[in-house]
Amino acid sequence: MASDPSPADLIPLSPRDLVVLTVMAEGPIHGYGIVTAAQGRFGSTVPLDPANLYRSLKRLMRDGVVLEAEGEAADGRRTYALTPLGRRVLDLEVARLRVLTEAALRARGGEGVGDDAPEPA
Amino acid sequence: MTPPRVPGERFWVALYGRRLRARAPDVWRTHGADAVAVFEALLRDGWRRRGWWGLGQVMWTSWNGLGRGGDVDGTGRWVGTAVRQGGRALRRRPGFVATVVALLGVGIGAVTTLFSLVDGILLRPPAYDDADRLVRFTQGSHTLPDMEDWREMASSFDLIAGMYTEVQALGAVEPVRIRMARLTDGFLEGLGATTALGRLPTADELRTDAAVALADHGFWQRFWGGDPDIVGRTVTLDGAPVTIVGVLSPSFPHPEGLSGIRPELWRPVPGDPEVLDRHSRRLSVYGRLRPGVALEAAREEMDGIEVELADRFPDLHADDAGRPLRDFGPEPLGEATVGEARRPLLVLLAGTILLLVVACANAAGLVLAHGAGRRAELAVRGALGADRRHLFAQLLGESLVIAALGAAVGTALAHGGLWWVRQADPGSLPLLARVAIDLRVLGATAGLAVATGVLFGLVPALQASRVLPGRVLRSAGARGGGAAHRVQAGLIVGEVAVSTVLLAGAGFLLGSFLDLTRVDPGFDPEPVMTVQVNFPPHLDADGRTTVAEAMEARLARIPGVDAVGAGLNVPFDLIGGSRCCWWGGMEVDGRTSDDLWVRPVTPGYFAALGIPVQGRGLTRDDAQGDDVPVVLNEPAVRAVFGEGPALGRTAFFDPNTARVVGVVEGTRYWGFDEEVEPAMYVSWAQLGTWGDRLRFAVRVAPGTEGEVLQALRPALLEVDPSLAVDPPELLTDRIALSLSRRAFYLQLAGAFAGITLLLAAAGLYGTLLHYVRQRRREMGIRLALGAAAGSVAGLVLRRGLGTVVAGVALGTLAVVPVHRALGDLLHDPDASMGLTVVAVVASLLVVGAAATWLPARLAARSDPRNCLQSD
Repeated sequence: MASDPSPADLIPLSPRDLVVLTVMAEGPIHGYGIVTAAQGRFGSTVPLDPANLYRSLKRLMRDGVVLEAEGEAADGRRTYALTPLGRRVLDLEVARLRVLTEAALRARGGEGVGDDAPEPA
Repeated sequence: MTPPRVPGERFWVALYGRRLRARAPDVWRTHGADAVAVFEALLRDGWRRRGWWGLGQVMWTSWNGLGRGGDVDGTGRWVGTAVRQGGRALRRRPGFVATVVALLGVGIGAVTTLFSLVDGILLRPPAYDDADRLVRFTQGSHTLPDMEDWREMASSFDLIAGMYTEVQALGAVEPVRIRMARLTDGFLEGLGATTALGRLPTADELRTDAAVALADHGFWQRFWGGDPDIVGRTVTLDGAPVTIVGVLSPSFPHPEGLSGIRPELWRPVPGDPEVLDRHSRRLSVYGRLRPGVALEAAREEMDGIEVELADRFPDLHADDAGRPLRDFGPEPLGEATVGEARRPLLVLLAGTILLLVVACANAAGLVLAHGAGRRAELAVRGALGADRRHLFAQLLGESLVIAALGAAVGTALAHGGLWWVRQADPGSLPLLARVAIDLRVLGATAGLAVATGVLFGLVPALQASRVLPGRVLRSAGARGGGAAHRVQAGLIVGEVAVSTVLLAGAGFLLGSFLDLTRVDPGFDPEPVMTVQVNFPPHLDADGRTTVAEAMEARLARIPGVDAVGAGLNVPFDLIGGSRCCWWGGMEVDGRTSDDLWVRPVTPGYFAALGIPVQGRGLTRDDAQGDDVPVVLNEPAVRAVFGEGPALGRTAFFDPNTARVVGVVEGTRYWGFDEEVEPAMYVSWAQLGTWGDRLRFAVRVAPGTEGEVLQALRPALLEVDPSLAVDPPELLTDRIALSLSRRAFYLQLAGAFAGITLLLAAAGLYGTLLHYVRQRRREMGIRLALGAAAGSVAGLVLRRGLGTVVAGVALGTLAVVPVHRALGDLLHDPDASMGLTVVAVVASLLVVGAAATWLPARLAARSDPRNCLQSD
């Protein structure tokens, strides 16, 4: 784990990391749960596959945003949860995105620029 | 709930693990097992929720995630890029693309049409629970007592039931004829029938011939307008009251309905002695194997039962030598219902696959020709640093785009093709209603498109990606490689060979068909029309005779009618229906002949049908008296009396003495492709009034057909409005109907062969044209140096015709196997195939020469100046 990074260094998040953190914000969850919850909530806007899921999780754990929860699942599946740092990162990223999104919506509503939203990544 | 089985689950999971280890080793080290477990769970999930589609989605996302870089950069991205690049490259060459797409579209369309038929008719199991345990007992019809015996003796089945169809008159006044199914108990339950309205007849009702009936859903809609109050209503069937107890569910697939005939009402098997007779073979019998009993075991048991029955009823179930006669062997219901359609469908599918191969070869030839022109472009790209993998990907991407477009065109064409098949099918294809171009067929089409894309794209792509920049750029791209030309020539040889095979196949069918139409039917069908009257059971023999005579007299008074006769059957009246009738042997000097068909007819029969009689026909007076005057046909004479003259001789025909008063040559009743059966004509009034029907034959003066056809039914109803009268028909229409199955397959085969020939000719033409264009400089030099135009043209002609001859020679090798594969689709398998082969070879040479001629002329007209300046 890196030593005490500031949340601001960790954003912007990649879309996939954002999805993972969002799902996790509701409580500890195992890998399969993350994929199905992401599918249910985001459909195919951000496809999540096993390889990239664990790539994400590895990276997020390295950064201290996510940790492996202890003994949650009975069937031996590992569960993952947000750290306090993770929650701050998520909040910060959401606030950042909200500013961007509202600006983009205003711009589109006012001047009819088009439907290209800025990529948060 | 048991977890759903994902097809190939272990394979996919293992493969995913291996790829994960190779592509994402860091993830694999720490979370490999977890990732694979998630993949497995997703697979099951996708499969359970959305079947193949869900499976595909999971695979696509998961494999995409295996890209090297981490984020989405897997196969999907790679294919996407290749396809996008390919698409861009293609937009610059619309003509080329349109040609190749059209070629593939035709090929894929033909295969998809046929595959949808094969899939719907042959591959899908019948739509019953326990479909794999359902069997039909072979050898046509069985008797009710036999069926009862099987129920008692056979232990392999937990259910045996039977049914037959007949025609009855519905309504009291000017009744309509409807198709009626007669059922034994167990039949509807065995096939899992349910009702949309009311109830099924009970087993008791079915066993006791209760006056109840079940309506088919379609008939209820058509005839009673879907009236919900039909249940409990009493209707008149053949003059007797019957209560409708229910309406069958529309989803119930009736086993005979699989072959196109769907009963309109269902009633119990009647209990009259005629049906209970051990001679009265009329039931189609179905059975359901006990769980765990193999078909083979059931067959063996039925063989044993057959031996036992042959012992008990030697006259019914054994031949003269005492051997068991009939084969009761059960066959799977699926096979039984598909029957005769299997071979033609598979043969035609093979034909369309050959067509697709030719289309692919053609497309490959075009891509190759184009590739040769693009060598310079590719070489430049290569020189600028594109690696071979990317060039390869781009070319393959182009092929995939073209294949996808071809698949779209092909799917559209297949819809058209299927529509045409539905229009043209004369009822020879069972289950046609079930055939559809659905997801399954589309999946096969997509697979086919990818396969063809790779097939016609791969060779050129491989060749082009091997291009060495230096060599090509030095030679300035002016000349195509010799290897490309050899491949092209090889493709054309193959195309011509395949065309030869298909044309030969179609030619055999055509020859066989023409042979058939030249067969002498033994009567003069033109201009004769027939109309059938149906007697209710309560009308007795005297009543029937009176009505028949009055009707004959009434028909004879219609202006334009030259002759009127009637009989239980007229030629070709039973095509497509059940075979009824009556047969028996005649005994002379203690020897009983083989069975003769007994045909009860009225005196006017022979004149109306134009059957020449030697001796005399039958007269009205023949209806009385003890002796039975009979007219024999030639095969019957041979069967009964050997070679000697038959006129005036007598024979014992149980229980009468028959006296031969006339002889006719022989008339075909079932079709041109069937032998003339030995037959004996007897007086209808004397021996035929037991039949529930009488068919009139009316010969009319030429030019009056239209009016007479209109007048027949009213005239008959005028005599007795309580009788059901069928719509009149022209005898020639019945004959055409008997040939329609062959005509239908012939049309399909002919269309495929014709398209293939056109494709091959177009391919030859295109390739030669390309050859000439590429060699223009060489030809220009030749002409400039004084070569005669003819010798330059000859160069092209030799090349073109050489290819054609090689292809034809190759294709001819396959002619004999093709002939064998057609099997019983040919009327006379032993007929000479020489003439057909000669005609096919000649037509191919002519088409080949025509396709060669234009390019050759172009070569001869090469203007040396233009050619030499072109660089």
